[in-house]
Amino acid sequence: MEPMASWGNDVLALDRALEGLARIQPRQALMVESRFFGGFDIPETAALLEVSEATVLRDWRAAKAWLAHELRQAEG
Amino acid sequence: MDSDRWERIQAVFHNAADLPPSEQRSFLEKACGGDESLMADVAAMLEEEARSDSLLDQGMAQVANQLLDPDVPAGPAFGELGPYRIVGVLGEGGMGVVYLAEREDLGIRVAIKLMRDAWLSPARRERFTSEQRMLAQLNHPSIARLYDADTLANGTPFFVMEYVEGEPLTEYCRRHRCSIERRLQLFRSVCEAVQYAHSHAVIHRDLKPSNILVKEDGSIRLLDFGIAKQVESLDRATDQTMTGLRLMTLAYAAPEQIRGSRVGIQSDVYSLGMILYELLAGAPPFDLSNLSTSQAEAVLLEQEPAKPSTKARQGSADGDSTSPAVSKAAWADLDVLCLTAIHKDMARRYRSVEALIRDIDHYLQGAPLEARPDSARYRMRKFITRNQRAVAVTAATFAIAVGLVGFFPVRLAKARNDALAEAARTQRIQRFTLDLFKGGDEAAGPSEDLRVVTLLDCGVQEAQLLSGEPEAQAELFATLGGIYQKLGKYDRADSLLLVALGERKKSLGADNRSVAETLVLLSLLRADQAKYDDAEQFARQGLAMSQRHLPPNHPQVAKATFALGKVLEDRGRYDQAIQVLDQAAKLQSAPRALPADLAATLSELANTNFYAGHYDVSEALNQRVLGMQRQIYGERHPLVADTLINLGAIQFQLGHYPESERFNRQALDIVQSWYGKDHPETADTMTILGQSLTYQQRFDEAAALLKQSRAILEHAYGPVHPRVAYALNELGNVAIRQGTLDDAEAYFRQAMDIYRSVYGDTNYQVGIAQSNLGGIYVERKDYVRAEQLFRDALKTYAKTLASDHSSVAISRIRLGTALLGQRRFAEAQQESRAGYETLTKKASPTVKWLQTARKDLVAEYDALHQPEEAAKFREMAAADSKNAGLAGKK
Repeated sequence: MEPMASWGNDVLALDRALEGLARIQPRQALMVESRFFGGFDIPETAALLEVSEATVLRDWRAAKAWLAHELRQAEG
Repeated sequence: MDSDRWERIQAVFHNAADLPPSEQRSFLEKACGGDESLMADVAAMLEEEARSDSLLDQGMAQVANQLLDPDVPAGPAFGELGPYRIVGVLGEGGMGVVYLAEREDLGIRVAIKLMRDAWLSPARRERFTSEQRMLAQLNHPSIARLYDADTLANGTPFFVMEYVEGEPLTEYCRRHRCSIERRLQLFRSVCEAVQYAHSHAVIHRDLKPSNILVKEDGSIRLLDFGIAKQVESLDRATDQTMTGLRLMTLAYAAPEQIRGSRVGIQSDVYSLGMILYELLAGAPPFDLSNLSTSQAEAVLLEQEPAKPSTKARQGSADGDSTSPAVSKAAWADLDVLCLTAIHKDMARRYRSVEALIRDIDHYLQGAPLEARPDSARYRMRKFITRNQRAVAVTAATFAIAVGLVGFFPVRLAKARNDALAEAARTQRIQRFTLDLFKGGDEAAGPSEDLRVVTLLDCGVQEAQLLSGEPEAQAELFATLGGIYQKLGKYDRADSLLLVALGERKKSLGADNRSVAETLVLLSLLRADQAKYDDAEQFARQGLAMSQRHLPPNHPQVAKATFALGKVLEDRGRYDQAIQVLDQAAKLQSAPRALPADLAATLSELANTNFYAGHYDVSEALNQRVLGMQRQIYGERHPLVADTLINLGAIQFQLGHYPESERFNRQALDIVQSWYGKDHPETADTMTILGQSLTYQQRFDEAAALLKQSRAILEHAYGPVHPRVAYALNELGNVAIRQGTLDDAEAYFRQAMDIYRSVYGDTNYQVGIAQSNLGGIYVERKDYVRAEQLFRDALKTYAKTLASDHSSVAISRIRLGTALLGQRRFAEAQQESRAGYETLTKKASPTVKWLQTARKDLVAEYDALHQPEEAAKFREMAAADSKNAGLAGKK
């Protein structure tokens, strides 16, 4: 469990960014959470959210880019 | 950013991302049409995508594995967890791993639950630990203790709980082929534990058979109390995202929990109902296997469950005989009971677990159930929900009101220590209300510092909008009025109850059970306001009217009888009060009555006997009450503290001061940890403890406590209040013993003025104040004025107390002293001797006043030349001083 400390700040920043995303697009935030925290793969995530795999891929791609940008800003 | 904006960003992003990098720039310029911030956002995202080195790409798999893979070894952190040594894994669930651990220094085994997909940021850790402290205070034999909760260095939270060996309730019943009665008894114990937690403002939120274990000895343990709430409040993206991931308990979750809206005590009622259903029918109402989460949610939200009887028949037709044998007639009630508990509309469920328990008792005793389909409350609720814009505040107020109303009948008895006062503890009510808001419209939710009174005021405003539904409005007014009364806002309570009374008379007529109920509430309010004539009149009307419209053993008749007894007690008519309260206790001893109601009445009866000077009766009653309360409420409940104080007071009256101190210290310990250090309840208990210290000559300790107490009370109630007077009286007693007579006189006079203005001239408290003031003049050797004050006190007592009351006896002894000081020996002897003979029968021989009487009698008989009598008392007086010497050495 030790590595957590090294990326702990990033994860916390990600958490905050996710909260922001959840406010405007809960499904997308849930998807990131399932993928990132839940370790779900694309088909599993699609099943969980009851959307197509294509939608997951598309949402994931945008969310990932957006969150990465947010994280970079948080690092300042 | 709003969601439209985000949609737009994403659209542009996707279109641009599919282009070769060289064409992206010109595409963006065109697509964004001069919206520079849009262009900057999308450009930044494209840039991030090109890098592909973010945490989300690189760390994710690693992170997810670290967090989710249970095979990731515990590592050194798990070998030892603080003082606990992990010895094995008990189980794994959707939320974490449960380890079996030992605490070697204490020799106990514990279960440690480690949340694996959550962590706690440093900022939240403080709240986490403060909440766990509250949960750790839940002390009930059927609730598994939460010993500890903390986080690993990396922020992963864990809970240390009592380790319980047992099997889930449903399996236990199945395996033992339990009868329906046994099942209901087990279920009832579960309900009692949940009710206990609710009275401590803790909602379980995750009740399910696997959280309810039956131990080998047949006793019940509830696990994970309040932990669901904590788990939900852990740092995650949002609360909504949790619903999808928490698949495991869906089957028992209330519709409002599934929808992610406000969770209240009724959510636990629902889960209990689902468990009861399974116990009765042998299977849960819905078969959720093979359904996806959202399909399961839809079933739970939309499908009406079959009656448990129907389900049970299906089960046995399928050859599955797990349901108990139940007669056809019995099923009718069980169906209603169970379906009421799991009604999809919160408002149509039992309004509290206590109400559910009552109906189980009714069933077990063959009495009719209380569950009724269309109550006024339901209609009101529907009205409120129709006005959807009726803001979250109303809903929350309403939920508090409903939740608290559930406690009403039980606690009406103890104006000081009922569930409302309990819930009104600022912090607790805030947490409670915030809980109610959680998941609701947070933008409309209350700010952190919103007090319960503010919420109530909003409730009143909303209630005024209900003018189209007078009955519902009257009910809400009466409810809110009751709450204001408990909070000590008498004026507000007064106007609301009067409005409720008026509305009910107008819509239902002047003579019916609803009007009767309102009259009883008003009588208790008038008693609190010290308007005793009104109080008695309302109580008598309410009782007579209840008797006219209800069967003689109906709880409302008992309640009205109790109210009349309480009013009579408050106005000092003890003999009548004892008679009436006895009657109430008889009604409440009936099989279908609640033990808590009986305990409250017996407690009042004990008080009345105390005031009337029947200390032995009072002590026996109080001991009985103490046993009942400990069983009902647990060891550390304010009601238990109250009874301890009463027992201390009896010891005090009997002159057993160290025993009195012991009771009072136990009480203070409970009260302080329950209410906090600056609460009036704490102050009152300090005053009482100060008193038992004063009489043990520990003046400095006593004075310090009393001054603290007075400051708290004046702050809370203003200067003219009986509680302040009581503290002043005690300060006077200490001052007189310390020899600062001017201070003492000032304290006693203030106390007397307060009692006079509150109670009028005839209350015995005024007599006590007069008598104490007289004591000052004795100390100053102004015996003439002292005599006058003692005679005034006796005159006051004559109106309210029996002639053999110990307060009367004490005043006669003191009058004897004043006459002796004037060398009027014959008269003095008469008073001293009469007081002495009365008090001897009531108090232990070491009581200060008996010692005073003996000393005076020696002098009086000497002066009257009656050497034999003088010698008799001289001998006893000598023994007194010897005892005093011994006591001094201790």
